[in-house]
Amino acid sequence: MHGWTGRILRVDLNRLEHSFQKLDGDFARKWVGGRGFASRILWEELEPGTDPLGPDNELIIARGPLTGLLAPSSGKLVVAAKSPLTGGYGDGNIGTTASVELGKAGYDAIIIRGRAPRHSMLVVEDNKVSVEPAEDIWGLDTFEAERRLRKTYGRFAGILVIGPAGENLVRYATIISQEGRSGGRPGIGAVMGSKNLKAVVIKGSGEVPVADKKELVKTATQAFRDIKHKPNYEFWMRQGTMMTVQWGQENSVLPAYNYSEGVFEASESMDGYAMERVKVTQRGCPNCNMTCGNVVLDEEGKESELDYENVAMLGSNIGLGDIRKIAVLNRLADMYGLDTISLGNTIGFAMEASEKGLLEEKLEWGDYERVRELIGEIARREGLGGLLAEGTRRMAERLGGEAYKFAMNVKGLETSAYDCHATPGMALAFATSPIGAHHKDAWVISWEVSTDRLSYGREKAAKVIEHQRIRGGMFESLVTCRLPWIEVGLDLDYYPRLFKAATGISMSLDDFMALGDRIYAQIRAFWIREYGSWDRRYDQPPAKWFEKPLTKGPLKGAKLDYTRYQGLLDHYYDLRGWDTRGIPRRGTLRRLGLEDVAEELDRIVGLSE
Amino acid sequence: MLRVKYLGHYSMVRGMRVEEISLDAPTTIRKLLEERLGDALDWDQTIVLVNGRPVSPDYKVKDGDVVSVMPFIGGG
Ligand code: SF4
Repeated sequence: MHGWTGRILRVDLNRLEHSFQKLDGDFARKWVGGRGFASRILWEELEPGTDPLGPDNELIIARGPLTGLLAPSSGKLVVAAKSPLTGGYGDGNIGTTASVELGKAGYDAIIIRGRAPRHSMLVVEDNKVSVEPAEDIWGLDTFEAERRLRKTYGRFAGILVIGPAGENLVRYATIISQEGRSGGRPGIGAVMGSKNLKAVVIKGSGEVPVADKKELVKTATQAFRDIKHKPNYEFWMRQGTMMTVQWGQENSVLPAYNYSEGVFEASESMDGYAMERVKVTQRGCPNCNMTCGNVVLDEEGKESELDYENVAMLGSNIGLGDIRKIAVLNRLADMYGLDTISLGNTIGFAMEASEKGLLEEKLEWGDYERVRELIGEIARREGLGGLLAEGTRRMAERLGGEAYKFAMNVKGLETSAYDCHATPGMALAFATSPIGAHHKDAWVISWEVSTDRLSYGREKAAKVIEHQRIRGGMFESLVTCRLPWIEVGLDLDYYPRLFKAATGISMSLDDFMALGDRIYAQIRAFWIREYGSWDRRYDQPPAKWFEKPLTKGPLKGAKLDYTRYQGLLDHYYDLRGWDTRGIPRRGTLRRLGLEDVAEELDRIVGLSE
Repeated sequence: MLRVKYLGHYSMVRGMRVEEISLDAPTTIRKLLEERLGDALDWDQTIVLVNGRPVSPDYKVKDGDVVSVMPFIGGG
């Protein structure tokens, strides 16, 4: 095998045993890696109804055939499990040296099951695998824990850790690496905590075999060079995703006051230029020549790594417009191991609930001091923090009444930082993302505002699917960063060429699109099996965007139209070959090589022809 | 008087983030921006808003308009 290492590591924390499994060649070609592997393995191996925070859930850490190789921005890993936040399929993408080390140690994936009898960490050094005690780092924040581990395992070890939030099973706890890279929004850090697993340390001394090294070096070198010569490269290196604050403000998609508005009066004090004034350095993932982690000095004089999502969610969305204060909140979230997107959502939700008199505690918009404390309380599940640790879907259920209308989530996962009152296509992207409302699979706003912004035509559904195939299918399985393509415009044709050089296998872009469709159908099947039934109500954007129009900015008065949105969703289902409930049709599953999935789904919900 | 806001790398191409322009004769967005951004302007990958609303390159600018010109972004 080339590109793949050909081996999977299985760890059983109940018995403190491990085993090596050969990666089947047909399986590798059919599912490629990363999300492809994770979605299929969870389907095959989890009993329906598995408690996501129980020992039988599986934590999967997976690379793909380009991960860690000489390829643009290839230092990424997928972490996946059944989600404690959504109850469905959950995964995340994390930039980390652990991605490189995993391949060098000789594994395409680690599958971790069970629960360790005491606080532990998994240490993988090539063929040497051990579960070690972690009492001395349990309770530490992610920065301190990683620093301690580096003392023992060296500068170059790949390290994944959880913070107090993961230990205390906060439902949107993530996994953190390199003091600021975070992945696994749907609570994958909580799954790790539920296994009593504080850290995974990976060190490898080998090399991933590749089919045509010369060709790989040539193609990758060309791609790296292309990236550097893109017209917006220089500006990207200055601001990275932080440019989106101003862009979002101009286009009325910058979330403000728990997604009540798409513009924010203090956007200029939290935008890319404000960030540049306090920027001290830049960090990134391995193998990347367009690094986008902007490190600033925060209000407390400490380093904090910012990107757009965390600034919008912990800034305008909670009514706070001071970049250095936002940076403090962001740093705390990273240290505790909390997802900044869901965190900004739960805080925004609580502020709105307080304003409406639904919460006992008074929580004012933009109250930095209180929010600063509250983040720790969430990570420790103390007082009001215990409620916020549950995520907006459960918070709304607790508060009752109309609270669900401003709980900004889809399938339980909170929306990323884009207001969709006036972008029906992006609302569809959130509503049909395979992990709940997230932007990584499809982001269509540039295209949408430049065409017919407020329309609900079939081409919008097609655009969302195109993105989902490439971003959510190809990139999440190769596993490399999508940003060279989406942000600086690297030609997509590079990827089949890099894949061929790495694996020796020819796959066209169309084949990758089909892979995306297969993964989407597989993930949808997982959700259906877990939920026991399915209908289109699960593919709806949050109610607020239909009901409460924007009151500010050039799009004042805009909101989504419920009936027209259903038409857009119908187009989406139809183009995917899914029925009007949102369930893949029998013929679609057959075409994608998922006959066994069809059989099982048919027993649960009855498939349409 | 007309205001043009340059976002992203267009601010570097133009060497400024905001420009005030007095209109001597009627002109279109296309002409206005091509004169100022030259070859760097890629219409297929650019959004032009006037007063917050998208317009076509043939839109005739008028006094008081606020034009925002920005590249497509990928949304992270
Ligand atoms: S572009 Fe940013 S997110 Fe992507 S690999 Fe580079 S540093 Fe990481």
